[in-house]
Amino acid sequence: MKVQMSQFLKQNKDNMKDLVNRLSADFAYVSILGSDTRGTTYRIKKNSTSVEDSFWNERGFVARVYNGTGFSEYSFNQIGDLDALERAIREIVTDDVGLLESDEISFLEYPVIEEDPIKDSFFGEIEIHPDERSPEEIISTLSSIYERGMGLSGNLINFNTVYDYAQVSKIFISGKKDLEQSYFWSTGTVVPIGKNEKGVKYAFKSYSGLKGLELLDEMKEGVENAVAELEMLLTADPVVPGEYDIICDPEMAGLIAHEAFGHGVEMDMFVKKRAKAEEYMNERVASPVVQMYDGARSAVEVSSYLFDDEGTLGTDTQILENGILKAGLSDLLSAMKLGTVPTGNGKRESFERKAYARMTNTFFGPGSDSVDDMISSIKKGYLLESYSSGMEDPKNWGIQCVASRGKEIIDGKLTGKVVSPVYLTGYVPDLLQNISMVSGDIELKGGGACGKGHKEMVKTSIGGPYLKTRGRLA
Amino acid sequence: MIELIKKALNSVEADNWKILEKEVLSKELFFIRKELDMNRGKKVRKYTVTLYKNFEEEGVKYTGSATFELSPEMTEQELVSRFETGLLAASFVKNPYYPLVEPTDRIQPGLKSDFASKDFMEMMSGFQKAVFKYDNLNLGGVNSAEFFINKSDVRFVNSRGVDVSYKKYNGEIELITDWNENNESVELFQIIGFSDYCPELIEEEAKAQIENSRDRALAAPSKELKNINVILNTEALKEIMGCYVNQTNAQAVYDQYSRAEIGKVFQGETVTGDLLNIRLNPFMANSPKSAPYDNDGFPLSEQLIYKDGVVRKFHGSLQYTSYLGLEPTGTIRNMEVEGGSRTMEELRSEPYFEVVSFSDFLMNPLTGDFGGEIRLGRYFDGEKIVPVTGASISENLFKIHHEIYLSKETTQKENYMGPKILMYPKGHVTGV
Repeated sequence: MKVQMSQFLKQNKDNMKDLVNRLSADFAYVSILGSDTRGTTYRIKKNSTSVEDSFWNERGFVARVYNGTGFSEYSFNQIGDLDALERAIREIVTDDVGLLESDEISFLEYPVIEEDPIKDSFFGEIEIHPDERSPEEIISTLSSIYERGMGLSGNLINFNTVYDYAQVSKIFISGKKDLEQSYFWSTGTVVPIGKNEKGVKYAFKSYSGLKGLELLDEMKEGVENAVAELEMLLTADPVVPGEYDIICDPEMAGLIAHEAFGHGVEMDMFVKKRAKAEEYMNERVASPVVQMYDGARSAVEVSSYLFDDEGTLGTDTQILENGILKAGLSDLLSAMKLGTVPTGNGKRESFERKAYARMTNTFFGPGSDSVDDMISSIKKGYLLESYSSGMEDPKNWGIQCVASRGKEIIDGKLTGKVVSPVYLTGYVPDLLQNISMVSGDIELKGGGACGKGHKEMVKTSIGGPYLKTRGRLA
Repeated sequence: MIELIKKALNSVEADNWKILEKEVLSKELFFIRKELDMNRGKKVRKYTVTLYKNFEEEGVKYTGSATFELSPEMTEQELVSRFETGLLAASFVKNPYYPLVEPTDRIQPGLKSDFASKDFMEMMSGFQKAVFKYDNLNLGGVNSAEFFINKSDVRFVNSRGVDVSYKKYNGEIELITDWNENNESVELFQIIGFSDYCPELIEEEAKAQIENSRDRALAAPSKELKNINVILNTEALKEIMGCYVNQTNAQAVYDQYSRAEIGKVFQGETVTGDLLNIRLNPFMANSPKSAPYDNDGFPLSEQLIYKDGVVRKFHGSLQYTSYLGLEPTGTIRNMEVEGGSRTMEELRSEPYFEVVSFSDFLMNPLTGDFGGEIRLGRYFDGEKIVPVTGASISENLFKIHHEIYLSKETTQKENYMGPKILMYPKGHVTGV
């Protein structure tokens, strides 16, 4: 079924246009983004069920106005009184800017945004909209997943089962642009939590896609694997710190892509001189077997859209081509500053926040090696699976990725021994230059969220094939 | 709008309900070096409604609930439609019965803040001048800074007759500093949270961060160190103490994640280091997490949770304290930790590795695992202190906390007030 545009935005589209027209009389550029994201999170765990709004829910608007030197913005969620709204926006664009100038603050200068006329729309498709089913049916399905999970091991103390969906609707209006999109994504997670004499451990399995309630079928199939992974973790010891040959599964590979040359090529960081990558454009930064991509149109996952939060159409960007750094990811204002073409990566946490250059669907491209060959090529090392978190350092190319577990490999064979947690740290080019084998199939997942620094959460997906490299583990 | 919501609620058969109304006004400035990149403003009003449905099965009482956010321009018809859907969902949510907050005669003090009497732009001017005050060096300084000042009006209303409100303030500065040495530039990052007008504090933080950036530029790659005293600074200490607070949370106890037992020393039977003394204070000055009421509208007060290492109290929401049959405390998000037995000078008297800045310090409150990559550390070999970078640590708090030492000197970082540093012996630092 086709995803429908938000009635709220449709009803207020004329108000948005009216406001743009009113302000355009005095300001050289005015745009308004209207967002209406509606979704629900269902959580089942031991003795507790919750049904609440999705974290991603939002309903409101953000106006961007050229103030004569640069841009000012105003976020709001009441659009009924246009006179009051116009006064509030003028206070930010004129009064506040005047006060800042009188405080001897200098402004970074931007030209006026030049746009080509465009009217376009995108409406996603899903199989089953959650509104077609009763909450009872959704809770019942999740409860059966929970109960099946809890029955699989005596070590389990809980089995958190979560289904989260969001219908994202956006309208972007400026002097020359009239864009509409509405799409739907779902994510699911199962988190078995177990306890033994070594302490408490948990495993994590996620599911995602531009999908509706049909995602629950995928979740049902992963229960046994999730519990088996937890059982392994309960036997895990810490890794002996050192440098090892490692194989990263698609999730861990995706995290490395995201942290290494995802955040590292967000081009607002180029403007701030916060990214070393700017100095390495068209130079080798990874082994020749490495390809890497990002884009709203690079893959079909949770961050696939027609236009970004600045009204720029999404694209497909190849970041690394045969190990050479070819392109970065930009929001509109950074591209204007750098004299480049914007890539449609200007994203906001919500209508309440500023837009930054952000990732969409970020992944390593496929190679031709087999996972078995990778394992048999390692004398002593680890197969790193799944992840819990990562952190970037685009300025100095440091990286920190935390794998959920590492499976020991000795003399080309998995020994059955598991280590956890595993901190993979090091210097990004070393890690990527050491990639020697790349498997054929790629997988993407969008179960998590991405921050910039420690805030500005947005939905992204990551992935790739299996990669063999060498890294420092602790 | 609240009256309209109440009217719509009357037309559905909820057993109980609560409404949280929040209006936030904010101003934001974004600087690249000393130039303003963008100014922003915000006015957003939201309503979060929770509907409750009580029911009984086989003699057991249950409370179902569903929570959703409403926007201020929804019509009565839209509200009724949302409530009907929400109530249907709530009727399938099978949680053990718990009560709602009841009205009380207790008068809660408001939050004290200079924000109340100061204009947004006046405060912005003071904060931005504070950040750039020491940005006058040739090789380094402020790379970029983002300023956020928020003033909020919060009101809780529930079907039991609670109707309370308060004003809340918070500010946040994201500060990036860098330093160029031998054509190589390094940076450090932090977010400073506050709820009072405090330009002096911001000046100190910015100055120290610029100096630390210089040290990072001069830092050598760290070598591997074994059996060394490891010192963690306030940033990491705040997360570690948060783990202890989490372990005594009623939800963690109810869910069986916690190791805490009332009346027992949490750090084990044989503690050779400092014992924990932690209390929760909802009214901590200059904390962005201070609040007189929690999100259920429960009136908050100070709570002692660890005394000389002994777990004294479990704390948490009305729902989970009720499940455990405990006196409710509400959810309090500020922690005060007493200083330890040794001064910082004493803790630094023997060779040590001190972490000044992590890439991202990670503390897992469930497993006790903590660690991270180190952007700037200081190694004291017994004779001299050398800045180092690139190392990492990985430990388990529950395996080392029988011997941790907290500094006598205390400080405040957002919602944490307590020792400035923590030291644990026999640590392992991986080298580059």
